[in-house]
Amino acid sequence: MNSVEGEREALAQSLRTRDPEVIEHLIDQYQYRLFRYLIYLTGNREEAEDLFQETWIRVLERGHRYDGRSKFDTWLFTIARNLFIDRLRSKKTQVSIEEFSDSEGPESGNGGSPRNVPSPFDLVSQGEVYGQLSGLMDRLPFPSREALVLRFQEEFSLEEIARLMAVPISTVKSRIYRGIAILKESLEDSKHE
Amino acid sequence: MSEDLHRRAEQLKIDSMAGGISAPDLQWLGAHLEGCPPCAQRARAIERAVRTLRSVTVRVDPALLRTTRMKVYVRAEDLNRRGARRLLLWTSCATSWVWMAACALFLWHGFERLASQMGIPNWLWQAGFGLWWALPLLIVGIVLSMQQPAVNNERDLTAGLD
Repeated sequence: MNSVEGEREALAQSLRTRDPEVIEHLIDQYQYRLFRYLIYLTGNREEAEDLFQETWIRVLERGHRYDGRSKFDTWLFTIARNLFIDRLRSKKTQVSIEEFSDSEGPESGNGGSPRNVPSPFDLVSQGEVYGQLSGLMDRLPFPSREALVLRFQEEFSLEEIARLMAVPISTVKSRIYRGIAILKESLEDSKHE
Repeated sequence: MSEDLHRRAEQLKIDSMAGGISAPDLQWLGAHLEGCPPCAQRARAIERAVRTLRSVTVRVDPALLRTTRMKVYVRAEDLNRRGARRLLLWTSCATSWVWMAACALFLWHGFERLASQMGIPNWLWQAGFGLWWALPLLIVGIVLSMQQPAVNNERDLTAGLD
């Protein structure tokens, strides 16, 4: 067993004890990444905050299910994503599950974003670095946006993203391709304006 | 140069950013970008898009962290309390089963004698005996089902921590 596997196994064991101090330590470690992902996922700061709390409570409750074989962050983000999907299902508003899960919807406009919600970037408080990206991400279909965030912000591998999003790697690749292509064009347009 | 080659260059550039490409593809891409200024410009735009994406940071409200930690502690305490209660319940259930198993023969005869004295039909006292055995499990079931609404109430209470 190498050191990374050893660390994961140790984490899995400590999660089984349901010790809140372990969760507190993990919150400190993953707060930014998880919250950023949830902001992108929900497009709404308030909902992202709710899900942030729910995710950690779920980690406490279901910690014994983490076996240490996969990376903890993949497991954590999967929990957050499942909670978000559950929430969408129960609310049945704004975004259809199809649109979220595997739609290859319109490539521009707000087709892929939750409707009638402001840009995540508008909702993220002032003083944060987002510059030209503000608004551009909203033009992306939702699955592409999520794939881009997971790949380039969270630095997950394609395999991990595929597992997390429950789609084949080829789908992840095509979502990233579409996302970058749109983002690149949007940035070029904004440069010309 | 064919349009397909430019498209391939763009695809490879994105693939190289997303997950890496093979050495021959990388070599081909490098050679193509050197000889094709529009594609080189597109490649720079792709790099810029990814760089911009990576530059976004998000601030987490300290109040959110405090509330989350508090909720985690409250929930952990609740889970521990319920775990201990459940352990106690199962222990008493197991103890009563052991005790019942130990005196099953006496009980059977006791039920039989009582039934014959009171004129109770065989099927009825035998069903009663079976029910006597299932009683601890029934009690556990009732207690556990009563705990479920309590959990929901506790969730509502922690919602007030915001």
